[in-house]
Amino acid sequence: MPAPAVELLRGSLDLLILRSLTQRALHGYAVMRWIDDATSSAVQIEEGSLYPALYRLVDREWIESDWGVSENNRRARYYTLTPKGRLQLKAEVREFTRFANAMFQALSFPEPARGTHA
Amino acid sequence: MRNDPWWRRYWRSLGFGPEVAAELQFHLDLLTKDLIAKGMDPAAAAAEASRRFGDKRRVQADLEQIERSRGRRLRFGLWLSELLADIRYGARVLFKRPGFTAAAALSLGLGISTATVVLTVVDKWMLRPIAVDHPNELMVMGATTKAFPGFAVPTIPLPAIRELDTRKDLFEAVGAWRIRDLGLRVGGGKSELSFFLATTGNYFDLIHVRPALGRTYSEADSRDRQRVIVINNSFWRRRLGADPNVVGTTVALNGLPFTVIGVGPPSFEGTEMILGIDGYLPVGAERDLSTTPTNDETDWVAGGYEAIARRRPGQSVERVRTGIDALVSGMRAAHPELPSDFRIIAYSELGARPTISVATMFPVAASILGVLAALVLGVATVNVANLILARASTRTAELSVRLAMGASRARLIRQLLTESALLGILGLGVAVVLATIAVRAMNGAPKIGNVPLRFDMSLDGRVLAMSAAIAILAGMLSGVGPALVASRGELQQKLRRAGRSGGGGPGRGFRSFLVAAQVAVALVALIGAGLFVQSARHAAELDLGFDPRLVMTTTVNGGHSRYTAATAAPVFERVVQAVRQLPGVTAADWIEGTPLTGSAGKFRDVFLGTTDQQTDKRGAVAGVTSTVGADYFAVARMHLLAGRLFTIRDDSTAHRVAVVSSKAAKDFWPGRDPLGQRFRLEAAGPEIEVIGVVNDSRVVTIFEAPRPVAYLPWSQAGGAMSTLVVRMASKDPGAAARIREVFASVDPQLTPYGFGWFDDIVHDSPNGLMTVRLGAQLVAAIGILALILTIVGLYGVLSFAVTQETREIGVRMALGAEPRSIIRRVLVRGGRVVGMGMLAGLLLAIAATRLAGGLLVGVSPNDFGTFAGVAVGLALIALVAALLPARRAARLDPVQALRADS
Repeated sequence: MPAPAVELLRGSLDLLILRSLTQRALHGYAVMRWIDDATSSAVQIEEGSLYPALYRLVDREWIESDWGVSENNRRARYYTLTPKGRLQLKAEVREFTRFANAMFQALSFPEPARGTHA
Repeated sequence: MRNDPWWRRYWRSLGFGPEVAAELQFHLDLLTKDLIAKGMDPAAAAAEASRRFGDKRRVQADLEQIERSRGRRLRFGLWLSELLADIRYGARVLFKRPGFTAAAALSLGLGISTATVVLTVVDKWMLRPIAVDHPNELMVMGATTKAFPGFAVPTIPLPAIRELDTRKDLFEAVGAWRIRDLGLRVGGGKSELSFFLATTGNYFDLIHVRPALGRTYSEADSRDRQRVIVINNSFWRRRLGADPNVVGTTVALNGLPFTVIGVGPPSFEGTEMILGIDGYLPVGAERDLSTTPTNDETDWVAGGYEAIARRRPGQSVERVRTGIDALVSGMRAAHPELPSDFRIIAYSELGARPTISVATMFPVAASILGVLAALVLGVATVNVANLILARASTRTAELSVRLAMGASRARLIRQLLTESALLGILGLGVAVVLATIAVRAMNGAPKIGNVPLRFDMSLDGRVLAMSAAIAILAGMLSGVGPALVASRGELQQKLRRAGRSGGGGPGRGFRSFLVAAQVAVALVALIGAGLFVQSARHAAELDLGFDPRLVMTTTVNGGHSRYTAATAAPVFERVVQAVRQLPGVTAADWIEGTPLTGSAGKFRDVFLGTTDQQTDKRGAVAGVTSTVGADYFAVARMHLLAGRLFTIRDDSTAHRVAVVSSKAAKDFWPGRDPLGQRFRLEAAGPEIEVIGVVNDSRVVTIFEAPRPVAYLPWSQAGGAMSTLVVRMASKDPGAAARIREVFASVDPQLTPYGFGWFDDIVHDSPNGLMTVRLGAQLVAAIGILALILTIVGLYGVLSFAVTQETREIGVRMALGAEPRSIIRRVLVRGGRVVGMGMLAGLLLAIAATRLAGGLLVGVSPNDFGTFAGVAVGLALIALVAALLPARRAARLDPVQALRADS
């Protein structure tokens, strides 16, 4: 069942990006590093999905971008969370938590006895 | 980057650009660096980074795609919000200067409304085909007559149309129609005058009209003389309350029951465009409505039909015309009773509006109107441009501040254009009001005799959309020049330069010329209006030879109630005797047709010799006959000059007598006593003896020279259709109702129609004063239009001149010039322009009024009073228009005026 996994991943990627920007502005590479660190490398993000996700979030006006100077003095594009994005993050965290709890609950539910559903 | 097009710079300013690549490169570089830090050698690290990244070009393309669509949306949003801001700002600016705004909106409104009215007429009568499929295949035909050679009029004999219908190679079908006036009665109500189209049975099928209710009739219905009618949708709604069960009910036409078999669609109200048509009946059944037994299907002489045809899709209009010509020469050979020059002329249906007889003239008239409308609109636009330019100079400070604060030139131009487009929209508002009034006047004005026409003009959506486009375009055009100049931020210098050089510049001369031309046109139009108005007044006081005041008239067609001439006479006699007993009636009698409406007076051959000498037409002289009752002369207040008038003894059993006009007496029997002379109206007809002579009067048209008229006694020559004329002691508004009651008491089926006072009818009739009156109104309207435009134009030019010369005026004032001398200076400038225009206008007027001389009554084309009065009036109005900017100049503060320059 690869299709739902991709769907799930895409939504979660947005959530992770929004979460990464709560404290400070980051450039794309730093976002990737943060996800790597925060998930202990459990989630591997490809550049091919990260940047389109960033641009789409800009388009939805959940984050905005601005050019700044990086730690090693290079021009870099920094992303920050907009107020709208902050609200969206809150809502998505709530939604995801509900979903994850429901999944956990379902997965730990006792096996149905054979034959009862005949 | 400086050389990038503006939109790219703009885009980048929003945070976009070729920086997608830079961002991705930055990412790759950091990744490589981290890999090196983990111990890879640089080359391997770069390769590994690039591998992990995947297809960088594809990612980049995806990202740019997202950016582009976002950019487009953002640009549109920005554009929209700027536009809204511009509109708000513009509205505020216009609102703050109500005088300027009103003048500009009025000027544009006059121009736009003229265009709207012309478009409405052109759309209705030239552009909009009948709403059926393939309307371009429809053709209409008329025949030429001796009276109007070269014009097609609806006078084709029905069998000729039937013969055309056999040419299935040229036509899918050819049908015929004509207007039929009827007495119509619905239910138990009163009979009312109504117009139907009598058509051949194939009429609906060949036009492709499908009924909204029921069915239409066919050739078989017509052949079997089925008494069936189809009614028009508007009649069904207006008169029958849109009764859904109307099919199968009967109404009475001229007293005979007819069954309603169908209701037409709302989109088709018949091929007649001027008269309001209530419905249709087949020609077969129409024969039953006449009291004389004729059969049009076989009559090659009577004529009277217009043909409508649908040509075969493959046939061109030209081929059809050639085919018709060949066919018609065959008809002439086979039917010697046809006139030797008989021709049938065909037009496309759209090319023969509003009626076939003006097919060749209407497009010419429409183009002239179109050019006039374009001129008026053009002048209005230039006037407003002048106004805006004069105004713009007072706004330099505002514009400079906006430029200094970083507004781009394009942005400023947009702002100014939005403002002038708003002016256009205000102008549209004014235009819609004016055009509505004009269209209502057009719909209400025309009458033939007493029957109102239904022009049915309306301002529809298509025309209004076009007008709106014209309005916004005209508004923006008037603003584009001023906006370009003003936004350059050079207005100040430009004004200064122009001011210093004593007010030159290429635009100046042209603007002055334009205003002078407007003055000239206004003068010509106003002089014309003055002459026509006086002419109309003189014409109203013209001695007609009879007195139409205090005379009530009404017409009745006995045929509508199945009377013949013989059976109608005693009934009509009872009516007039009862009317004479009504209070306030001093005299009353019958006359066949109303004088000066085209319905009275028949052109006849008069044979003066004795029976033996004269049996052929060659010796006949031309005369006019009018059939009147004995008391008509008393009603009309005509004078008996010799002999006697009719008495009751001059009835149908007595020998025939006539009273002749003084002109007839002189022309027919010069130097002899007319009394006792005899003449005949037909070569072998009965002799008629002259028993009296009355004064000359106008019978056919109001401006005619006296005609030889023979008045025949109604008791010997009356018909079933006649007009009752009643002289009253006062203009009693209840007279019509009481006369109507008399008719009802004698026979409820008699339907008198067209009640009206005789002098009003003379006033409204095309044969009476209508042309003079309409001419006066039209020319007066043009004159007022030209006058308003001229005032706005003059005011604009002088205002602009004053702002141009602000510095010069300042210097003069600083040197001690009196305000009065400043005012004089501006007035002299205005005076020069107006003076030149008036001189040209006077010369033009002398030439133009000479051309119109034939239309004038009782006033010379070069009437000094009119010329002088209009010229002085125009000069005074121009003075007021010039005084406003002049006083502004005189009130300038010299210190500020000088500073404005530095």
